[in-house]
Amino acid sequence: MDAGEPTAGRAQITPGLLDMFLGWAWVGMMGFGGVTAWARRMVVEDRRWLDDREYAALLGICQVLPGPNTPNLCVVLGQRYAGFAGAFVSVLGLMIVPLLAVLAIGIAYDYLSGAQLVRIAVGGAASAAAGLVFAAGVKMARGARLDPVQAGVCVAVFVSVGVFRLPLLWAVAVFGPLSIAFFHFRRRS
Amino acid sequence: MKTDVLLRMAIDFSILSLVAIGGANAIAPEMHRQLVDVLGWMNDSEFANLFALGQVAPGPNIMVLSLVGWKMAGVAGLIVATLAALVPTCALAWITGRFVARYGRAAWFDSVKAGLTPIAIGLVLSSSLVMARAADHDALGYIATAATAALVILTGVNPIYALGGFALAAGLAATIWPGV
Repeated sequence: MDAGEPTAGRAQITPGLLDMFLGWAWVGMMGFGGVTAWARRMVVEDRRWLDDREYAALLGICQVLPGPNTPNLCVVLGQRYAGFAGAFVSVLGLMIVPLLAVLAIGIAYDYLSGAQLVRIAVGGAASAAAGLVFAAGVKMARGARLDPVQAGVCVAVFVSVGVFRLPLLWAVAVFGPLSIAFFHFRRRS
Repeated sequence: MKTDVLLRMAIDFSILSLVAIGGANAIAPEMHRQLVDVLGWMNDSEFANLFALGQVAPGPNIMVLSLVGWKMAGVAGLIVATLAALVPTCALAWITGRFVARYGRAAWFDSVKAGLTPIAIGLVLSSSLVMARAADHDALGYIATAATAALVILTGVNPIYALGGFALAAGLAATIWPGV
């Protein structure tokens, strides 16, 4: 992400509740195929709530937390500016348009999926979506610069969950603590 | 029956979102296991199609759970599924936010991140495999998966065009060669 102007040290704007609602509603509307890139643009470039460094630090926390990253970011950021009300209006803003869109898509698909052609067309999009998710994984791996141990953990998770279809809960419960403990002790030694 | 479905979704989707390390892209294997294999609520194609619609819809990709909720139990299902997907993880984010605001980033935080990053990547790659298995039934399917992956990895093109393009291609192919 090469922003045109340096963002560090720039005056930061503290948003009010309405600003938060509208800002996140914009992100929710724009984010076709995921919202991560749009969230950064809104928070850092357009509305100047945070500079790049602070944004990266907060996003890092939200990526470690389970669940969808952007709603987590809404909570952490909204809480900082206006407590519970801030977190609430931020998540509501982010979700309101997508929820209505999902409702519209669901209703349309209910009506149209009787037609075989529609089912086939959506099936084509589904094949493409599998490639999209694969690409997301590759991009994550490229950005993370995995060391050999991390690469091993990654392969172990892929084989157990992807190939052998073990329940996600087991895989996370087994590999999560082991992997965290390994990196914790290696860092200290 | 409907209350059973709502309760099942409330429990399953809460747990699902709490183990979704790597976000919504990580949960296809578990969703498929639950919805297709364990509960038998839908077949492979229905699952793949719903997941694709979730990717096409604006907003966070976790909305795929809202879409499943809608399909299973209408508006009540949409609301229950969305709340189940968001409330537990947002509560956790709330607690973490308070903790970080008070004590700063603890030293163990970096260990957690280093430990969980490869798991997130492994889960997202697993998701793509499960989705491809559910969605790809013919040559065009494999081509659509491979071409979209290459396009997104190698170029900055908005993937929405690939999804729309291959929807069109699949529709056209079925029209030109019906029954193939």
